[in-house]
Amino acid sequence: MKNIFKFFLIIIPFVSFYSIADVHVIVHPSNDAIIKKLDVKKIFLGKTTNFKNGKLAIPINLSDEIDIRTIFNMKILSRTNSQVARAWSKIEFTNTGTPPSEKTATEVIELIANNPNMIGYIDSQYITTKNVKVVLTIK
Amino acid sequence: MEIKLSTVALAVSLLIPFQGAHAVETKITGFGSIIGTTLLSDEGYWVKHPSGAGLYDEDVGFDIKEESLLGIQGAIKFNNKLSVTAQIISRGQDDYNPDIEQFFVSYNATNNWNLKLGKIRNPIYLFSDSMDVHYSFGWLRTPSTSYSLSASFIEGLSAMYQGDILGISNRTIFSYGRANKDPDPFLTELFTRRNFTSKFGNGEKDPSTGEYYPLIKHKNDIKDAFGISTEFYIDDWTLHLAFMEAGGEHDVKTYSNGSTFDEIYDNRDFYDVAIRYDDGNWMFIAEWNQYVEVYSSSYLTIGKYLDDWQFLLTKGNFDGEVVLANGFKPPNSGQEFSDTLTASVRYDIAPSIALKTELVYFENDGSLIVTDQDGDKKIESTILSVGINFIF
Repeated sequence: MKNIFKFFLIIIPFVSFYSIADVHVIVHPSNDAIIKKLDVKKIFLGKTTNFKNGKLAIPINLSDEIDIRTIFNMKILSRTNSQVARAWSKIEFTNTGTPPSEKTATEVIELIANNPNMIGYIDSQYITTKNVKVVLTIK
Repeated sequence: MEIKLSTVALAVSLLIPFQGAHAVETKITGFGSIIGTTLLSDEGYWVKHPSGAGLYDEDVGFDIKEESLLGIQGAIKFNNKLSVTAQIISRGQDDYNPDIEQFFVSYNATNNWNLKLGKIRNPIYLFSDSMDVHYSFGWLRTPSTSYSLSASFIEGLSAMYQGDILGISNRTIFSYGRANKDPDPFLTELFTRRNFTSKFGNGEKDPSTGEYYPLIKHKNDIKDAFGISTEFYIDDWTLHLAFMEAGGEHDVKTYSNGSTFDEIYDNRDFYDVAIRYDDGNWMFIAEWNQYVEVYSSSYLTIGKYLDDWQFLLTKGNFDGEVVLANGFKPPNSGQEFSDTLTASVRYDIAPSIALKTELVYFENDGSLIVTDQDGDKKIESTILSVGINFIF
């Protein structure tokens, strides 16, 4: 019994760490579209290709921060990573859209800073630049 | 097999000659399924998909070839607006001979409009344009009661709109063209049982002599096909509406004695309505379609996600009998009134590969192809399938 208690004492801090990781949805500073959680969900599930202001929306996924990507998928898209992959496979092979490209957090920031059409998400530790605008934060 | 795989490799390599040319991007992706099925009880079951694959009776045993397939898609992107895409599928049913199932040039005219020209998938069903990508849905196969129409592609052009209509996200595809193809095995059976294809029958009665000659070639040409398919996305809900009308249908049959026989069919309209809910926890799909004067079918699926698992229960119904608007029933027409109950389980091994199993109970009064063997005037069959679906 004590061992089980110790196990939870060791595990809980790690679980808590992931549960409180903040995910920031970012766009180009000039992007004036109203972007809510549902809009992000639609864009990252391929149900729309535009922001609310009618401009093209190009989503970018994280390639290296798998934990942040999982949190983003679970908390914003309400999907597991496999469910998201499944949704995009339908879109890709029916040629009705293009799955998000996968980039590192640094690349995501750099791309969005230079492209008003792009939208991505990053971990709190990368919020060090003024070249992108945070439109949504999920705790 | 080596020759066939090398044919696929060759076809794919043809899509990459521009590698290295500046500003041209190439992308190779693919999908596949290995599906094994066995008949557990009674006479048999025919999946009745457009390819005609999936005929399982007691002679088949455990079959791992009929529905297995490998698809490879290559895209060449010349710039942000212009690209060429080809999709090749090798089906076990066809001894894995590769077939180009999509081949088109695509042009993004605006943020909202995309134009395609070539051989294009016809999105008449909720899953018709993705029914070969088994990885993309929870079932092992799309419900066969409702996915039997073979007009799954057209050679022509399409215009796709993606944008908001009254604040609701919408994707609408207009298509126009023709489909010159092998005949639909299932509809051939339903229309007139005389039309045995070489795949399922031994021959054809020559209408000019009344003698039986083997049918050696049969092409079905659907001309002036116009379709519109629209989907509305409201949060986790999807509403799908589709309509297709063909301006003419022409069957050309060639017999072993060299004679040919042409048949012109009247036009019939096709409608499909589907509603889907999927919140990542629970999912629900209801789809109904009607091929006017030929059949109507529907199914209802309820599913539950549990981490990497998904459990689905599907009830399907098919009501098929050729009755023309004036009440005339063509002689020798087939009938099929069937109900299916399907239990499916999906396990996502990793984000790009899934393991599935599916149990189908099939009840039929007047089956085509599969006939009553035990004299109880009913087909009551159970089949079990397992499959691995993947994308890359």
